[in-house]
Amino acid sequence: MTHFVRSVRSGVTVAALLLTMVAPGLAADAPDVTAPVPPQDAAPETPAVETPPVSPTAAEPTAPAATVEDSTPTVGAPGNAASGPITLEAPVPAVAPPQRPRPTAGAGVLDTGPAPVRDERDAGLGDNQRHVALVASVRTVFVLGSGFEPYAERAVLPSFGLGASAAVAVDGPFVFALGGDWEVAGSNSNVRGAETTLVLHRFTVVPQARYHFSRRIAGFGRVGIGAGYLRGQLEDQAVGVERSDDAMVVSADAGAGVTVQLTSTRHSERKAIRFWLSAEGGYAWNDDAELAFESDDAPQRSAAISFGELSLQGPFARLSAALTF
Amino acid sequence: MKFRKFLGGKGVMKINRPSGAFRAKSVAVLSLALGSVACERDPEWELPFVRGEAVGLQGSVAVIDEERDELMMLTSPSKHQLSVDRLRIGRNIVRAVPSQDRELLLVLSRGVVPRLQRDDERPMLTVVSGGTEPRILSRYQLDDPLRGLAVDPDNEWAVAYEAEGAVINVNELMLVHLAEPEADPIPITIQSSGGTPRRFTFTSPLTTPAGDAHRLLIVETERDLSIIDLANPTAREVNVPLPSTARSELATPAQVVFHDDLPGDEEVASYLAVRLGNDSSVVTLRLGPPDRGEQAFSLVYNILDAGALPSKIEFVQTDRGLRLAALVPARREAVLFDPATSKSERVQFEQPYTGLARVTGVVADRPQVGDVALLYSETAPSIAFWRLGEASSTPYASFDDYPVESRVGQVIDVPGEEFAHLKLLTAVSGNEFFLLDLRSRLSHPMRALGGFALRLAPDGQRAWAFPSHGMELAQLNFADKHPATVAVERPVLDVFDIARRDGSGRSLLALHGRAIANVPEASWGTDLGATLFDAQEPDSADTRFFSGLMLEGW
Repeated sequence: MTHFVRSVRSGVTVAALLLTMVAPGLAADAPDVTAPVPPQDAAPETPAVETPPVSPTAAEPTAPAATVEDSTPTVGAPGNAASGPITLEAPVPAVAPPQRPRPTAGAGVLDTGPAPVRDERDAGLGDNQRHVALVASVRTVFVLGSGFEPYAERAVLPSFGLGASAAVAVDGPFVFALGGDWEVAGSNSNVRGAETTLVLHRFTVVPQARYHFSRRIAGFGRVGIGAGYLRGQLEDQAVGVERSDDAMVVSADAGAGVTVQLTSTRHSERKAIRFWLSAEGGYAWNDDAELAFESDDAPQRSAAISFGELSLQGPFARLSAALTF
Repeated sequence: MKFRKFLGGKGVMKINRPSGAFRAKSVAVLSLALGSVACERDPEWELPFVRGEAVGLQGSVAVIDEERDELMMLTSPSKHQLSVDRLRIGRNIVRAVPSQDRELLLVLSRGVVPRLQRDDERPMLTVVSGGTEPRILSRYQLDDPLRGLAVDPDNEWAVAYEAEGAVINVNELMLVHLAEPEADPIPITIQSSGGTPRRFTFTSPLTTPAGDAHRLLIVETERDLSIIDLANPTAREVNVPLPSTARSELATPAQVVFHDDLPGDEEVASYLAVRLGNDSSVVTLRLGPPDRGEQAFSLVYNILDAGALPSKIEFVQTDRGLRLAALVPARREAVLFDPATSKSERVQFEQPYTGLARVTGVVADRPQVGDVALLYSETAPSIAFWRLGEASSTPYASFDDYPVESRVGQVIDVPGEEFAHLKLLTAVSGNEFFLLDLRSRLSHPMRALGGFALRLAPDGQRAWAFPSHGMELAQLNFADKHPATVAVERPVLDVFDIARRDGSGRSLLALHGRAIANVPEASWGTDLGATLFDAQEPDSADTRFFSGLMLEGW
């Protein structure tokens, strides 16, 4: 008998797991599809009191679980393997619990009112796509432009960035977000014994289009348009001073990638802090600039030292981590 | 569906979710991997800068960039402008030698050593123009690496010598005909009796008994001479053994002079003469009729005795004709040899003069007969003008001596014609030099607080003096003989007076750079800067400073 019980439990658990993988939103939304339960003869007497909203999560029982041997009638639809263990573990209220407000399609400018419940269930997105994001990123630009050699041993410009964005329009899985990024890129090297340093601060406005394939994953495309502050330094050994120069450049990039939610995808209808990881590829462009290194401590009427036009452009790869809420 | 299940389902992501530390490591590894596929920059950016020799030319300054095997050609396009162009010379530059007129620069390179691949570069001789737009004029491939280089004052020939290798022919020379860039170098092995080439003298055309003129290359070894006819360089050279000294030692040549003589109706005779460094003998060689079929002349050998070790010899014209003058400071006299008869006359001086320079064409009251020579001494503070037109008739009255404040070590000619009557006499002490006006016979002493280096402007208008690694330099304008000192903000390695490319005048380029510790060559270092002055009107407040020149011109 014990062996039989174990087998049944295992079978039910596996079936539930498979179902949630096929339709991640289904199990999470299971309570929403629960119909008012008619009184059952075999059911134990339950006080007619209002109960708080029941957690939709089947794996988080709020009452002692019944056993299969009790032959308690199921509350869910007959033959629904996924709902079987859920209803077995949930207490059956004597009266129908208050209906949770159904989620709408979004609150952005495209939100024209409550969306059909059926669409949301199909998408299974909950509130995943409607969020404000705080982003930290690392990016590597593979510099194809000229003039970068004095500042790096490889044609790579690494950077670190911080940014924020907010969904401004949501239409089902489609999201249009607007954000801003600050990014600092730096490289240093040694040119024939002279130390060189290059730092680029980029401030960009970033419109982003996103499509949520599921609660877990979304694809996105974005462009960044803004300005960059470029500063270079050169050690002048002949004089024993450090020379520097700076320049403002127009800066832009375009990229596309995927973002994956790493936190639990349950409770998607709730506003919660979530953690996302994104990978992106694209092309970065910065206006050409020529840095002419000078120093106030150099001899009188010193000519500037220049390595010529500096063109920081090329394909990039970016990894970013985001907190959304 | 599978894609969605894989990425969106709970199982895979949960099971394989890395820990925080692992995630951070993964990001770092991914970034490194992405970075590693990016192109590395040209390795030449990594090369340190090792400043080699700097050579001043007519319109440019060549600085050897040792690590890049390049010449950095510094030119001045216009006032206060400096341009750096790089000329790829060849692997492992050994030596750079300018021509006498500074119009050419010849550079020897070893090539790839050891040469293991067919396409490894061979040793080369590269000829670079020295004007305001320097460029490579020609390259000559050599069989073996050579270290020595001598350039013909007429820019017609060059000779490379001093081979390197496990087994070398020390007497092999590579003769390069600069006037024919397409011609291959000519290998010549001199027949020395145990010596190796030490010094080379390219003669002017010397008339042979047949009446035609031949330029000769005289190769001095430790114990003999080899004379190569440049009109027929592949013909066997003439070897001239030197006599043993009075102490039965091997005689060593110390100086070679030549004279092309057409003395009227007499037999045509051109002469060579050799001063010995360790004997009182002077050897004269007259170009005689050929005694072998392949040579255009023979050499008639004669030995003359100066009585004591001569310090200088020179062919001069006296009131009795051509003479070979030998200064004998130990006896305070000069010996005048008749090269045709070997007869000699002696002129007694007040001072032990050690040096002699012919100044006939530039002195005031140029005599109708004979040369005028400037005599100077390394051991006595005196100079003298020697009128050789009176040397035989009234030898005791043929010179006028003048006391000066220092002993003179060297007499430097001023290039060009405008100030050819001026001579720069440098003192043995190294703290003074004199500007001697041969027309007025006035000297203008210039004194420096410390040691100094002297550089002549190639246009012959001025000279520059500066203490090595000092913070100032002085211009000596030949027109007014006024020295003007200008300050610089960085220690000076060397100065070069070059023509501007736009023809607007000349620029003075003062090179700066730190010296490498424990390296004796003052010019070596790891950086290079320059201050540019207007060479004609230098002013400390009107300069342009350039730094990081080793980073320019790529």
